Amino acid sequence: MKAAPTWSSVDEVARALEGERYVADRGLAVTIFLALRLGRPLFLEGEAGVGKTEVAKVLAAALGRRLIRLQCYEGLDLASAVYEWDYPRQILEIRLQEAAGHADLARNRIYTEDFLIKRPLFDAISDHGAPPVLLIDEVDRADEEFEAYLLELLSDFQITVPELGTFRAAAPPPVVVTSNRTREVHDALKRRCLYHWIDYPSAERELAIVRSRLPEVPQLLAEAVVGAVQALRREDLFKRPGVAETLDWALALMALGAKELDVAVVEGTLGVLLKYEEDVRHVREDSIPRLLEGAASGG
Amino acid sequence: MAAEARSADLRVARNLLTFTRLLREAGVPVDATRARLALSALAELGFEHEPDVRAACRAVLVSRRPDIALFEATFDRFWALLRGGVMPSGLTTVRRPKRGLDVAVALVPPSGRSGSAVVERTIRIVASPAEVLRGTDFAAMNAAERAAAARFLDRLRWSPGLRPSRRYRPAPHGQRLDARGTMRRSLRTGGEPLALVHRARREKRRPLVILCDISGSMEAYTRLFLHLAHGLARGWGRVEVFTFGTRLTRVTRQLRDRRADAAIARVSRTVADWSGGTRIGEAVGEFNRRWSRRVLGRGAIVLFLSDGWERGDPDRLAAEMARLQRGSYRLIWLNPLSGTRDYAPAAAGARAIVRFVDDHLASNTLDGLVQVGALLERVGRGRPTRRAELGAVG
Repeated sequence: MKAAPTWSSVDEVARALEGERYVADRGLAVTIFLALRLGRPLFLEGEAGVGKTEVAKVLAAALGRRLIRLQCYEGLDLASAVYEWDYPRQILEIRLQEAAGHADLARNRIYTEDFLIKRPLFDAISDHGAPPVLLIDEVDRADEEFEAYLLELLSDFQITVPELGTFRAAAPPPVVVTSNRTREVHDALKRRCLYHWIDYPSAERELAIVRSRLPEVPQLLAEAVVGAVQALRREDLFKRPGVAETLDWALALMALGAKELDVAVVEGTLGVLLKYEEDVRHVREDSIPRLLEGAASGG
Repeated sequence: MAAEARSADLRVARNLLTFTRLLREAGVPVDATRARLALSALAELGFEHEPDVRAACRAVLVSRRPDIALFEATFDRFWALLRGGVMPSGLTTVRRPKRGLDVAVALVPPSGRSGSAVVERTIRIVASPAEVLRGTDFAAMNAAERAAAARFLDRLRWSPGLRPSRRYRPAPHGQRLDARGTMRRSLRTGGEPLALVHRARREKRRPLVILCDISGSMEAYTRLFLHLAHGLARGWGRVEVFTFGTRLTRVTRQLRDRRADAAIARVSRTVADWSGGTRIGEAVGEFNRRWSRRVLGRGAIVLFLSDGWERGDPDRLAAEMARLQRGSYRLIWLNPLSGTRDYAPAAAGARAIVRFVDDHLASNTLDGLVQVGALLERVGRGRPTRRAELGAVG
């Protein structure tokens, strides 16, 4: 049960990601390539804001497929993740059939695919065209019950509806599972997948990301922003800024018309980078000189 | 030609087997399924381009972040060997670092008779500690009494605090109407909702996090507290245990051994800062930064086992305790000193801690610990109750 091969080499994957303005390291490109070739889900872990969800979006865009996203949360159940019968319409149908004098027919009619509400997981495996990309986002927020179900689904890509029978994906869709590691996801689930840890990018790669995502930011400002953020990540913080914050910050500085970084500008925009009051205070009190130093050296 | 290709395949397979063996020796678990998957991965990629081979093996063979460093080191060795062209059989491997004293040295109580094996074995037969023992300060116990107390703790059954989960179960007398269920049932009666279906929230155990002070001043209590932690970890389900003195160490995995003594021995081999100084503020700070987001979710209860004897900066300690309290559903301080007569948290460190805990309980006797168990069972279904609201002091 292999996914239809779409890219024949790692280099092609890397180029396709680049085409979607996603700057990936070689390891990620290799893992994506293998996930597609071996028909395995891709399990991405990393701190918030390093671009895990983005991988799925970019993958769907590059493959020209639909993206189906399932956001996980505690208590996520089959009715909102897989399928549900459309009870109001079923009742209405019974009434209509009764009115037309076919009450006995109603029972057969209401349990057909027409009365099924497809939720993301069902949607992903019952698509008859090219399989869509399925993103299962922040699986660490779901509870163990859902994880167990997911394990079953990712093993054989089939879903059984007792009243209708079993649905099976024509070709397994590419699956991206992400986790922020707010808890350890069970080994059994991870073992179904290919694992990749996305780290904070190096200064060089982060600069490439800023340049590629925000070409309107001037080179010098981009270098200063990346240098300062890299310095900031070396500070003792409760929550270090991710790449998403770097991009937000660059945009914020553009909006302010800042040409370069100085104490006033940095102090005024710290809230874009840091989301905890202690962190903001810590940096404001004694790290701004180090940030500016980092900015001057461009990382 | 075909034969040549096959022998090349064989060579790749043999090399890969060697690599997975090296990995296992280094402490990264690799099973046969994974090894086979790695082989398919390399069949896609070839064996020439080192960064790709490395990335492929990592994607397939590693599934936890802590194993990445071990993987990288092992792969370096493996690749060097491969380039050298020889695959020696008995090579030394990279291993998880092992350090720390042996348990026997680390855990021998500072006062009292030394606990010889013979004494401990006799005590094991004792069914329950005498009533006297239940009120005796751990520090005043001799080795035999300590062992008896440990047995008592091992057998203590803990009922964890519950919280309402976000899942529902059908409940005839539940508070909420299950509209979906009612409609589903009405299909049986021709779309007429004759019976109403109700549901209620399911309940789940709260996660429990134990932070155990193992510095010199706690020496008389450390071992029994670890017994307590072991008992809780086995009876409760989701329990995370950390020790701290001058640094923070996660010992959850070590405590998973079913036998208490073996588990505690493993802890002592892992922990590097037994019976040293204390920098509680720094240790709690490290917990807040590195672990709190991962283990404090879902309304966790935190047991903080310490005498509050801080040698670091009390302001830093207060700030970190405040953050710890905000992250937890309930922060319970078990202080062996508070059971002693005339104790008041007067030292700067203890004053800093007491401001930010929800409960401050004596824990120097078995009776004290039994009461802790009773509290854990009662602890909450509703939103967190902070101490200021309880109106309790000291």
